[in-house]
Amino acid sequence: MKIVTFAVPCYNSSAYMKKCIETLLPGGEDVEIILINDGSSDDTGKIADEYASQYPGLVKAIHQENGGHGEGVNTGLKNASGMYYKVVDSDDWLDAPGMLKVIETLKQLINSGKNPDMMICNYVYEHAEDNTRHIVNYTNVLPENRIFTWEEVGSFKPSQYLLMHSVIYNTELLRKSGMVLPKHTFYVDNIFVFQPLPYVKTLYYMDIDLYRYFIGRSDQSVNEQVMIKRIDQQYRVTRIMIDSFSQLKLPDKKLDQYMLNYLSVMMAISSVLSVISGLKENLEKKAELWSYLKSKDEKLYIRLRYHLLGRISNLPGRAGRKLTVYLYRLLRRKYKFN
Amino acid sequence: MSSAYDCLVIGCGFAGAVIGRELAERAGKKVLIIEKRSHIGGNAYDFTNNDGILLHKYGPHIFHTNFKRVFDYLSRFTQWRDYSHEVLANVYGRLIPVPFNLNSLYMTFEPHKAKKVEEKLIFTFGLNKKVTIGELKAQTDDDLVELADYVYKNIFLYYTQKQWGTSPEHVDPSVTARVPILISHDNRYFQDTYQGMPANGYTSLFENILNHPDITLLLNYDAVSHIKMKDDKVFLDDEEFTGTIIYTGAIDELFSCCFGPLPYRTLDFEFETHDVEWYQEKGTINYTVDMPYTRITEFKHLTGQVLSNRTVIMKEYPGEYTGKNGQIPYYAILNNKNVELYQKYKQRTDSLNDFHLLGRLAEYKYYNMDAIVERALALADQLCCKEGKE
Ligand SMILES: Cc1cc2nc3c(=O)[nH]c(=O)nc-3n(C[C@H](O)[C@H](O)[C@H](O)COP(=O)(O)OP(=O)(O)OC[C@H]3O[C@@H](n4cnc5c(N)ncnc54)[C@H](O)[C@@H]3O)c2cc1C
Repeated sequence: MKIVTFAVPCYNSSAYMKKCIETLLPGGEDVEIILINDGSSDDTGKIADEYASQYPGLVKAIHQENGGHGEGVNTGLKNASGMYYKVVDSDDWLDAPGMLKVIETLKQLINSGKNPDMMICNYVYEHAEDNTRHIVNYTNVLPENRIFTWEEVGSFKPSQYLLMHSVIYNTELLRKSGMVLPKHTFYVDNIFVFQPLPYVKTLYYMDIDLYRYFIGRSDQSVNEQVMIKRIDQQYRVTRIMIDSFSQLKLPDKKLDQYMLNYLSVMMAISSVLSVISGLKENLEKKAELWSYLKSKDEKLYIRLRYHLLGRISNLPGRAGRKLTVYLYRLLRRKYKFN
Repeated sequence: MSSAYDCLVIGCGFAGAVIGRELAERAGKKVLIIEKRSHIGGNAYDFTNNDGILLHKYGPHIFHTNFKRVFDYLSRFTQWRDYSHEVLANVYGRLIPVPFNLNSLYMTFEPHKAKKVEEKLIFTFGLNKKVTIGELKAQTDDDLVELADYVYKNIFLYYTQKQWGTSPEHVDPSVTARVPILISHDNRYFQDTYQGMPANGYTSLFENILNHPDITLLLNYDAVSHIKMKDDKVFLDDEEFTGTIIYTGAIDELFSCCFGPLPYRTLDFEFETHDVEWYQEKGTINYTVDMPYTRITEFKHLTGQVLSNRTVIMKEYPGEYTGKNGQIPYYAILNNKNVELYQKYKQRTDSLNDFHLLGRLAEYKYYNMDAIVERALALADQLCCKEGKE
């Protein structure tokens, strides 16, 4: 049985995908590596096929029409035979010894019949520019090396929110959650670490710097100007998250609070980007988003509106908007939340 | 990840596994072993195929040694099955023991002649001695020269041509010397004090060697993709590695073959399953006068596996190593030119700090398993000693 499926969505990744794949190979028979060639126009498909033929039973190559990162994640999930599912972006990589420890632990947990719904590990920002790294760990919020439930979870700083990089899901759970990521959309990773959470009952955390998140020189998809350009996609994703969270009655207070905070950040980013862009149409979109939320779940609307970030992002008047931008930048620096 | 380890070992054959264990156990080091194949054991790797038959993936391996230390060391990790390897040469359908010995002599020549030659051999060299074909040919006695010629033509020549792709004159004497004539009735292929097969196979032996909490092993991890050399520094996955490095892979690959590739012979192995209990009477039969393959090995003889209606044999086809995908360099081709080329690569490693070449590929040498284990233990002595003095 395969313990983990690593899904690697690849779009024109021929220049760097090898490094990523090479760090996954030591997983050997315990893992399955699915390379999803997302309609690339370079050698990505060829490289994927080469690995698949060199490592049969370990690497699979799947070619699809271009559908974006989210569609790659969907395809990986459909084809995954591993008990757990982890997405590794083709410009990132894993720490191989760390990976082996995680697999070993999962194996033991599976054997003892106590396999968690979700495994969490640290991730590391690898800055290409100055060769520095920044580690995000959870030692202050999660108990280590044992099964726990949401009840025992501390309060996450926004810089610590669970990202795609930090989680490994039980594959069946992901399928049960019904999560399908929208095509051709950025920021879908937010949905990935949000929508399935109510299905997650048991968690396990290992203080291992597993995921290496590469921050390149130029095409940093998260800088402000780029985000403004893609504001519609930010809105689309936020709406999907509203859909999945509204009307939910979560028995776990901690989980409820965590998801509320996360959604609040998403709302704040959407709102603030609209404000920063200075465009009237974007301000209208912002108003629409909030009224969409209100129509979906009034209680949630009220909760979010009076939530710290909700308040900041909705200060009244022109001066209020200026203050919003200022506070946002301040917060962003402090929390590095995007 | 580099900073978490004191030692980096590249390759997990006998050289890498033993030195890794020693560094972890004796020197208390945290050791990272990286191996490009999907399994441990290097060329000694064995596995059970779908029919449940234990096979040696990279050619038959029989353990034999006179080093007590090596035998004792490995005995910590395995029990042994008594096995003395015997090889027959198929000379136009007649099967005679090799190395050519007194029994072979009696099977080849009529009894009267054989008796005469036997006496001359014993008189000239002594009983239980080994002589090489070269030494024999240098004799003045007609019978001995005739014997040398016979052995040369029927046992040595074609086999060597197949093996090395050249005529024997172009083969290094050290290779020729490995094909001796044995003045004895002992049919065993090796005369070493200790010989046998690991009771549960080589892979299990390796698993036990590697079973140490301070050893981390990464399979499918090719140094060529993960290690970079720059200004006398070694980088593992872009992070400088400042600890001890033991390299057991091919040395030219470490430097992208910048002076040209080191020549090797390779082997193509053809496995065949036969629905009979036994295919041949001994473990290995050499084809010394015909056939495109050099030898056929039947694994059940070696491993002692009992199976009544099935057996697997393997034919070995030697060829030139071209570095093509999937090809494995097996035998260094030792001649002056190649050794000089090797030295060029080796010099590039001289300026590296705490960097050691170990093993048949890194040293561009032929090692038997016991010899490389002995080398690995000696290097460990040296490294652990140095540590002690500091
Ligand atoms: C056909 C054949 C039969 C033999 N029979 C016998 C016998 O009967 N008895 C006997 O005593 N000896 C025998 N030998 C010799 C025996 O195989 C060697 O002594 C032994 O394999 C040497 O061990 P090593 O660790 O030096 O090399 P290897 O076993 O070759 O190990 C080197 C390891 O390094 C790995 N490696 C190489 N490059 C890289 C890289 N870039 N990155 C990561 N890893 C890398 C390789 O994949 C390999 O696993 C035989 C050899 C052959 C070829």
